[in-house]
Amino acid sequence: MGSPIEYLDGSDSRLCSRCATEKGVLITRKEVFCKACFIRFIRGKQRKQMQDEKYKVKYGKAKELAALNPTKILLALSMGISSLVLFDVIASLLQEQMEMHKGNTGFELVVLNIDEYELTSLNNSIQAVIPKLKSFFSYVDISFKVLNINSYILDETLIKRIRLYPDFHATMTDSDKNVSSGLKDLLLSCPNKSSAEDLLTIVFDELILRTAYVENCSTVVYGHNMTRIANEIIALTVKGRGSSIHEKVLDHVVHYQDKSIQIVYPLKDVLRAEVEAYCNLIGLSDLKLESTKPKATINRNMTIRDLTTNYFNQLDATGYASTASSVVKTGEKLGPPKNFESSGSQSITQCQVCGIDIHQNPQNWLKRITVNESAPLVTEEDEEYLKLYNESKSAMASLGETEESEAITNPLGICYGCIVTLSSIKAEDGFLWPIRNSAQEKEDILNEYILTEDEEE
Amino acid sequence: MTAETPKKIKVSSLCELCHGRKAVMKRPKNLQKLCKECFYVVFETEIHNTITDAKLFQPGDRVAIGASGGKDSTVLASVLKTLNERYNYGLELVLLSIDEGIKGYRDDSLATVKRNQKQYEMELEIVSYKDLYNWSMDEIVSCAGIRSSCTYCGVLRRQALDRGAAKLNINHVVTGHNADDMAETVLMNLLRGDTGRLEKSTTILTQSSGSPIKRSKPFKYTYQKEIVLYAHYKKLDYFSTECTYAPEAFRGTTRELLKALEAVRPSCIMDIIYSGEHLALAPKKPKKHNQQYKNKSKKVLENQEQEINPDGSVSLGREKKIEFKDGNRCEKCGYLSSNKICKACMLLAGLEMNRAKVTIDGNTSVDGAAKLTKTLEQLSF
Repeated sequence: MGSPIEYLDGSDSRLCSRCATEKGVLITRKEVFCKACFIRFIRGKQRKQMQDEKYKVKYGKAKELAALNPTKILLALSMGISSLVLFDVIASLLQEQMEMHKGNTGFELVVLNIDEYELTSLNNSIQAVIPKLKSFFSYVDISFKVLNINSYILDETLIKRIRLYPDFHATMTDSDKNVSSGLKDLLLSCPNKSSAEDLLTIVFDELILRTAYVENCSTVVYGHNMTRIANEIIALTVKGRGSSIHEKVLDHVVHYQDKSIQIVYPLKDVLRAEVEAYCNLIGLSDLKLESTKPKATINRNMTIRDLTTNYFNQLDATGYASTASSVVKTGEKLGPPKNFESSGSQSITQCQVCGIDIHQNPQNWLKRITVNESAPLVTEEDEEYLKLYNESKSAMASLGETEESEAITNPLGICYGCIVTLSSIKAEDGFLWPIRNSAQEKEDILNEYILTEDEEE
Repeated sequence: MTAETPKKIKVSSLCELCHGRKAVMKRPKNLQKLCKECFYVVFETEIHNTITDAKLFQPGDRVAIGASGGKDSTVLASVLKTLNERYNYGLELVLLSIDEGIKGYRDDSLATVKRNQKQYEMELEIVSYKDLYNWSMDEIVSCAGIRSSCTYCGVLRRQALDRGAAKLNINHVVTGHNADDMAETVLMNLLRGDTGRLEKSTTILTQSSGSPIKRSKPFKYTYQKEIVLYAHYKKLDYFSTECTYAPEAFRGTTRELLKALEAVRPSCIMDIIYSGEHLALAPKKPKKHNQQYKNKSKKVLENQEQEINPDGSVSLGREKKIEFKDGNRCEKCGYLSSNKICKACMLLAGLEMNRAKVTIDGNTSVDGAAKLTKTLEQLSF
């Protein structure tokens, strides 16, 4: 049982169990579906998740109100199959609304793609695909936005040199060099692939929220399927970011600057195999963009998310396929951490790298369980070596590192997950990364708005 | 810097903490290069910190060490003895072993425990499944199959440890569960959707209000690989074969994932524990009461239906369900239980139904895989 879906070939004469008239094309969840009923079934999953009045076509007084402040939904389109399927599902909802309500719709759709062409060497550029997308969804009116990842850097003065010391405290200094390098270059100096992947997630999340903010979208929809969400929950746990599961990968409300933005995962009940089937049946597969970089095949070369993805694929193949659904259900029951509120003395602060709440001082936690004391030296020979070491160390220091130590340093508030991500960076070199400054951000974001207009297709 | 003596150590290969001795190992936790002496210091101090931060012990406590003869519990006994003397914990340490009755595995490891007992000069108590439950693990596996072996063994061992401690008049059992086990448990609870255990998966000291026996895990933050290294450098005597029934369980797939993750990022074990300490269930949302009018007629009908269980019995309504209370006792054996009958009694009752009514004298087929492997190893041609 490799896949939870069984495809029926032409010779199979079983009828669809829903309409009982058409010939079935596949079996999923122990039911035979024809093409039309299967598509309707998947679309129904989204309809169920987004039943709120605000997505419906309004009449009367509600219509007047809506005209002043129309509901706008931002769709995060990565051009992978899940987000493409969600695009199709939501576009079909708009089409249905138009047909039933004389051309009126309940919401406007904004589609955002963050361009990964350079970063992950995609097989095609988004610009080349947009015309195809537009003709595929010609029946609805959608505005497309394409963002460059470099726009994460709102202001170059926010790029700091971050240093992490053996006792886990972190500092930031104004970057001495004139940094005009883009985010890609900053990411390239990442010590390993998993760290780059983690930082990129932070960048994407922030860019999507920021776009929702400037575009006045009150809802953001992600195409994540059930397997993907389960994977994300486990990956967050592994990365030491377990405290943020409840506010990262499941339906929730984010307070961004002065607005509340609702995050919805309409495909959270749909299995990955079902998304694939939908994609093939409807002919969306040709549109998807993929990385042309060869995938790592040895465990050692994989990122944390690669490993957890493989794990879920393997579970599917060995008959533990229901695991994804239990992980998602468990994730949905999680809330903010509890055990730390009572310790009152320290209030919750935010991480200056990724912005999440810090509930328990990670430095103290790590220091207690990663001791850096040494055993006393016993022999004269040992003392000799220590002398040699100190000599060579001071020789190194005089080679030009003294300037650095004189630079103005500030302590950096950093969460556990970010410490882990940045931990393999050498303290001497530090790591350049834009830090967060919420006071300044709003102004910068609004200025940025002009930029996104330019890039609009 | 000319070489005065041929075996001069390069500055770059000195221990990263004392800078005076040659580094002999890379620390699994953070890949720091350390000498033996500094490794002992950090290893022992971290455990001491864990013990004092969680206030595990009081002076004068009598504490039982759950000893299997494996590396974790052997190192635990050795380290606790060291720390007890160094920091004057004022503890009286006792070894407590469980004999599950797995031929070719436990009998050998128990021999190790007996040697440890002499070396560390501690009292030793051995409790066996056969005596307690009239079932050995080999018999259980031959009856219930290998796939559920860990379920049985886990439930039974938990109780056996408590009973052993009670026999010794001790109210605190320490076990050798290490950071790897802890991380594995956090992942397992997420993967199985075990919300009941999720919040408690990383607690170092567990105690039930109704039970006099506490359990704690001083190795909560200690890496398995470091335990192996410590045992190796200190030349501790331990038994290193894995339980022959173990690899069949779902836990195995989680363990593999964890090993792969650790190879990519050594800190991931600590990271998962940190995550685990932050996992908390959201307060329950009040149930929505809309659309009741639709189901009203249906509800009435439902109440009249009665489901008959496969064995002919009838389940009582949910309203009569006994509220979960800490301190409930099993009606059968008196052991602490959240249900009427404790888990061990339930499993045993299931086994009893399937027990062979007639046995062949001198039948050895119930001896498990361990015994078989052992016999095969000793064959010579």
